[in-house]
Amino acid sequence: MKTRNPAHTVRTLRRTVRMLLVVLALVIPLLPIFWMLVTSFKPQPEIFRLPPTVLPLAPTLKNYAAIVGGTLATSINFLRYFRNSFVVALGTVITTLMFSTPAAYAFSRVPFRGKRSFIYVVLVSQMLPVVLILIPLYRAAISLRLVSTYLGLIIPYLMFTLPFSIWMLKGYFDTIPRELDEAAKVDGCTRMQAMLRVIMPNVKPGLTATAIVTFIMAWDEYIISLTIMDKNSMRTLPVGMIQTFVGEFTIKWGEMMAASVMATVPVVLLFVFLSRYLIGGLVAGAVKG
Amino acid sequence: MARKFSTALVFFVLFAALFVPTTFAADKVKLQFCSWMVAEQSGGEVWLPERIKEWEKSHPNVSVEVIPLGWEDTPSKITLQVQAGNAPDIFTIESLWLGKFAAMPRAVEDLKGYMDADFVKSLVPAYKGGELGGKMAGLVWSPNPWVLVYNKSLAAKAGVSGQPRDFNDFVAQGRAIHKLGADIFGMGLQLGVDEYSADTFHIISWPNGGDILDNNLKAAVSSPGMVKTVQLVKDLVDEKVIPFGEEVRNLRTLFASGKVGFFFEGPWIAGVLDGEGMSRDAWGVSAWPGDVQPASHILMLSQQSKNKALAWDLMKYIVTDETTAKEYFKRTGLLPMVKSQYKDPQYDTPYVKTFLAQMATLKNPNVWRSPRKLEIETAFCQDLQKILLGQGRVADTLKALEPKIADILKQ
Amino acid sequence: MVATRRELGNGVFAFFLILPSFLIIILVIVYPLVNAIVTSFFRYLVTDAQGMVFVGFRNYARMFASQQFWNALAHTVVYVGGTVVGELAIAFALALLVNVRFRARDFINSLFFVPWIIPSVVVALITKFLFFDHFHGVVNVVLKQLGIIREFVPWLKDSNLAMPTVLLATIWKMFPFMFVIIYAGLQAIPEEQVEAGKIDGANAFRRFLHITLPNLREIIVLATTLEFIWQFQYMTVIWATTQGGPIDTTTTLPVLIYRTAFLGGMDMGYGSTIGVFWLVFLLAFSVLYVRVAGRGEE
Repeated sequence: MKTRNPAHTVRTLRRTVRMLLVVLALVIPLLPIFWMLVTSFKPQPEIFRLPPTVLPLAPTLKNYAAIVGGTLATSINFLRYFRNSFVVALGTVITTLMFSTPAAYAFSRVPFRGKRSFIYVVLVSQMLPVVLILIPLYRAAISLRLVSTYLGLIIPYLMFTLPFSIWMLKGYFDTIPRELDEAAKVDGCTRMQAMLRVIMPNVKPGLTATAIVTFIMAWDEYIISLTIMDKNSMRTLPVGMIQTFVGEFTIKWGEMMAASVMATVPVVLLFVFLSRYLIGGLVAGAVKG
Repeated sequence: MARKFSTALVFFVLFAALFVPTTFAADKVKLQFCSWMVAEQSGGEVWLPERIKEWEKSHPNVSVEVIPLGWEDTPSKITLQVQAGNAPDIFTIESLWLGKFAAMPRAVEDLKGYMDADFVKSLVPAYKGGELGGKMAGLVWSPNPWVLVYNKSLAAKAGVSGQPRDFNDFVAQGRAIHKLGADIFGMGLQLGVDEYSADTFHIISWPNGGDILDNNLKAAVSSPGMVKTVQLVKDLVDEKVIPFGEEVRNLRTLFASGKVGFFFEGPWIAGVLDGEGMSRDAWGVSAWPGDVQPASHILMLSQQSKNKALAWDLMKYIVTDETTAKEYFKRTGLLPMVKSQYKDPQYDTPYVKTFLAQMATLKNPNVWRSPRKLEIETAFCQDLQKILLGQGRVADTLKALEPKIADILKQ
Repeated sequence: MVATRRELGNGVFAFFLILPSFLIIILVIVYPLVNAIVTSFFRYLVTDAQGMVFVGFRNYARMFASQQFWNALAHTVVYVGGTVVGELAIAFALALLVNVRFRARDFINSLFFVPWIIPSVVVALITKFLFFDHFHGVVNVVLKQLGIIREFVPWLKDSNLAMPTVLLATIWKMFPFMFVIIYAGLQAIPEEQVEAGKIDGANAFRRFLHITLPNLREIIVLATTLEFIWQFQYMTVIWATTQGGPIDTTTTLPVLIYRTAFLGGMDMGYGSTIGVFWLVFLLAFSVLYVRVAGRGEE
């Protein structure tokens, strides 16, 4: 029912202002992205043209073609790097959630001695500079025959993602009131069932957030990937991009931008899909009953 | 939820298992050849593996794994592999890292035992670029002396020849070109904080008698020759004759935009400027009236290799095969090592002749003989930056640098 | 009797839940940790034929006497602190902004993620490009057109401007991390509390102070602690733009360790010493920080 009362108008006004601010805020992430996109369609000489152009004067698909076809595809097989990064990142997310969720639940719900110090021990693993562990890590990977394998990369990544995951999920678990546990127990659930059926659905936002952060951590990592992946066919995207585009003689800006665009779009789509799970809204319903 | 978890687990395990590499059939001998030339789009990534396949045809029981490795990551990755006993049989390095790998324990094989007198005689003298500390640490693949590259139209407009007779003439020509415009640089010098910059600095310090380390490997940065050179560079940067702080790859792009009169480059410059869209008529090379250091691509044979004789055979092939060398030259401008190959008419150009002549002036900087080359050169470049940014006076800063370098040498 | 058994049951249950994670973490960290501590007492350059030579506390003496080290520590605190604060500010503002239901919200949120998705190495190179001075980098061209500057500014080559520039680039890349966490936290705030606040007549600001912040507090403390520890390691953007320059003004501890222990002579002994300091520093920091910031919890 359409009313013209002042409260309604104020609300609409507030909403409009808010939407405008959102659009304005989008400038922050998107301006450099716009530049990246535009550069990916310029040939190398135009990228450094003085004065610089905004939109390409002679737009070309050559940069993209070079990655998908051409020598990059046939000899270096650049597209493999995308695949490898995705597999490693997704594998890391799945394993991390698998191991960290029960642990976080325990830290949140189960009282036991030494809980606080456990947390710090778990965190200590993050506090050593990565550079110092590279040689022992590589040697261990060789003896375990994990060099140039996905697992060989995921396991070191777990060292970083597990503590984060446990901490964060514990935090989200803590926001779920104990009454839910109690209610479940009253309904006759065992501890395990309580955890899986009642609590978990309510930490969906937390799980999704953790999944996203873990994905990016694995996706973005450089130096451990360089260390573990001897075989070129197993290398991940960051290493592959530097290897191919930042050469001894030149930096291939156009193609690097094209590759970045190609790398970003699928992940954005993945996150759009995951974002839906960020919305909770189940907590209220569960407690009311 | 539990079901979803176990399915995920199964899926993941299967997924991971799919990609654990299967062991190869054990009947073939495997060699690993590592280079950035097959990682970049220089053309090498296509024809080099093809040529290696030709070699494999004459060695039917050998299979060669060609491993691309980015130039940026080569020194660290190869070092890591050497430390873990996992180094590739043959790896490519640049002169920059010769000292590091030659001195590293268990790293490279001394090739003196492999190179007989006839073989050595067949190579251009630049093969000496693989020698350090009395051992032949590597086989030079491309002899890369630095020469002067100049922009023909800028030189013509400024009324200079582009072929300086001596150091002072070089400076004068550079200044003349800068007069053409406020945003036109007379000459480009690598003034970043990296080994290339420190190495190429010798080219202009040597004519003035300056060096980073003297012949006894003692710090010599506050010598009069060095002070004079650094003061001159500072003046030229202040006059905007030299652009400040650009690393070599950006200098090439700057040159290709027609903003730089002279700069120092190697034989690869033909392929590079082609890729930057600069016509070959727009620039020329001229001999540098002085000594230059090499920036060679060098093949090294790993001491940990289990098939050294075969690996040496492959190395020799890569370096001496005429078709490989011709393709290399056509695509990139890099020159062959074998003297007799220069008879081919494609090498009969002023371009090639300039580089060949410059090969006679190749000299290794003293600092290459120190295992702390990187640290010393980093300290030098940083203090040079301080001076160029106006945060330190030339003589004082260089004087203070000497004990710093002595310290590094001691560690 | 019952109490003891429940305690035992709790302990066992918890043990099994935590075991896999714990195993992985311990296995991967124990050896390098012990190795680092031991190596810090030796002179050990990987490229030296000499191998390891016991030198006692000499590495530590060298480190504490080194101006370069203290500068690196200061730069690290500035870089990491600046990043975390910057991320938090931007992320919080944005999360609150989108905290109402509207169409295409999921899509808009994903757009905010984009800087984070781009590999760090690419972000670093883009930064380098945008802030070029000789090649008429976009930033310089625009600022000059707007009349804000008269001449092109050497952003990444000036010893005073380099750190703010890389800081800006890092905040730009990293703010979605905080955004994800805060946004998820906002979704988890129980509806009743918000409704109750509205009914009590509290305006938006008071609701923020008394409902939003307390609910998010623990998560923010955790996230900022972890981010601080993680960003301490982060050197990709710095390394690919300035390599720690000009004149070491962007050299943070990870850059210093990388140069010392991984490049050139590979001084693992000295590098390990810095690593041990790093560990102690971060441990002390996190214990203190969590205690102070998390006061009133558990």
